[in-house]
Amino acid sequence: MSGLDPATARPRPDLTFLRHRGRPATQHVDYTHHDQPHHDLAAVAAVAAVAPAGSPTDNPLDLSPPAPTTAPAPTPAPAPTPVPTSAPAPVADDLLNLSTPAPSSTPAPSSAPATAVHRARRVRPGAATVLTVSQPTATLTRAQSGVGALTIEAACSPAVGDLRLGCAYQLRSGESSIVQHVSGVSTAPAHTTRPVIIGGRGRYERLTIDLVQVRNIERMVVYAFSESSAVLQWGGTLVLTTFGQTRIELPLDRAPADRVVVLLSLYVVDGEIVVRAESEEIPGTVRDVVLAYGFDQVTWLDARTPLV
Amino acid sequence: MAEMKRGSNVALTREIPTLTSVVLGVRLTAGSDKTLTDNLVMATILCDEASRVLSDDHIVFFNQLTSPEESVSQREHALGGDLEQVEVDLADVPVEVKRLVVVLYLNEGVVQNRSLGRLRECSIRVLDAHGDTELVRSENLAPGLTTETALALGELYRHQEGWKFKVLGAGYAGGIAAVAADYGVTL
Repeated sequence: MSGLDPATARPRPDLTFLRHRGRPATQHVDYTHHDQPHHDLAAVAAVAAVAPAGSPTDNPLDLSPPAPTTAPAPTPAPAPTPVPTSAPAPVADDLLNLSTPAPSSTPAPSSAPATAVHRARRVRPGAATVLTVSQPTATLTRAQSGVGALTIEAACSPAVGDLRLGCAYQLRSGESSIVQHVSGVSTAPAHTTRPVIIGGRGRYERLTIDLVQVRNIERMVVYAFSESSAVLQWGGTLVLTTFGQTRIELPLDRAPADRVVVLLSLYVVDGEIVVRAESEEIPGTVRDVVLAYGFDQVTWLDARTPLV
Repeated sequence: MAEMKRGSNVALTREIPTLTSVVLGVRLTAGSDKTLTDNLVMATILCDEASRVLSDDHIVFFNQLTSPEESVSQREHALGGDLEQVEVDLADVPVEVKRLVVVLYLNEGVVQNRSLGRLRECSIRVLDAHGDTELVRSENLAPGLTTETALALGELYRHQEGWKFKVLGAGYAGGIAAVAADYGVTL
């Protein structure tokens, strides 16, 4: 029966449904705010530095300086006697303060701060979720990620210039290339009767993702550029719309430039679509941009046209 | 075996007291229209007393293969000729879940000019998960469908400490969007 022990069993990456059976880890690294953990640690350190003077002193491992005249004594009332075992320290209601030894005599590591927990930012129906520098990501539920289609439109006025949308994609089935309607590559994969992604132009430049095939998507990177390589007078908004008309918006306000700009990345994580504002100008051609984002399996006809 | 008509129900656990888990399967014939079958999706909505979905995590379909406590799970490969199948562990279904509604819908993301009216046959059946033996089967629900793009096939619901199954066969001209609105699923 040892072969059936999950602890020793061979991993089965081919059984993708098994991934749902795992329990989420209690600690997640917040990759959406790369400065967050430092802030948190700094905050905790700061709190620890001003650890309450009224903390119990019978802890032999307590290295904090001995309590002066009990801290919370703004009034001349008799200072409260610290009760080391049962009552919490006076500052125990401060949720950020993890330094209170309270009844336990265990040293600090047991109450060490957890890494910042990543909370997916959900989009609310009926209201637009705007991607900003401080909140660059949004996560769709699995229902939102799997029903209907997701459209990505560059809502720009003609004053912006000849802005065109494109995307690099990587599918679980192995294909990797770009969709760029203006260059005649309008579907992903390029030759198929059942495209996962469709590039087109209605009122605006548009990409449509067929969500019944969402499980075939690994990742996408959406970029914009000028068809004539002219300077674009950036403005407008990139709008993502779910089947239920829930919207995610990314303002396209930038300084005028003639470079290709990576607007957004899109990953499918356990069935959930996670979008992230990139807003990164990259020198060079579309090919350089696509390579910069690690799509190295794309073959090219020229610097802005894939070989399909 | 007699086919169940729309609206009829059967007391599954009273008839078969040893029943612990069932499989709900969707069968259909769509002719040679592959575009239609490629875009047909079965979804199971776990509802409370008021027939509202418990949460966004309580709709089981190809992109969310299990409910959070894993009592309801979609089989990645349906057996026995069904289009899709979902397995329900009756004892593990959370007490607040009063009914599980099985829906068939056409994913209208990219596909146009298709509807369930093109189906020749469409039925839902209930199997004992142990042995996959068929217990009951609905009548053919396809006749009468025209422009509908979603169809509530049937529901498994609690009744006096046990579970019953009822054939619904209710079409939705508004498709999955209308179904979602009915059951409170956020899209």
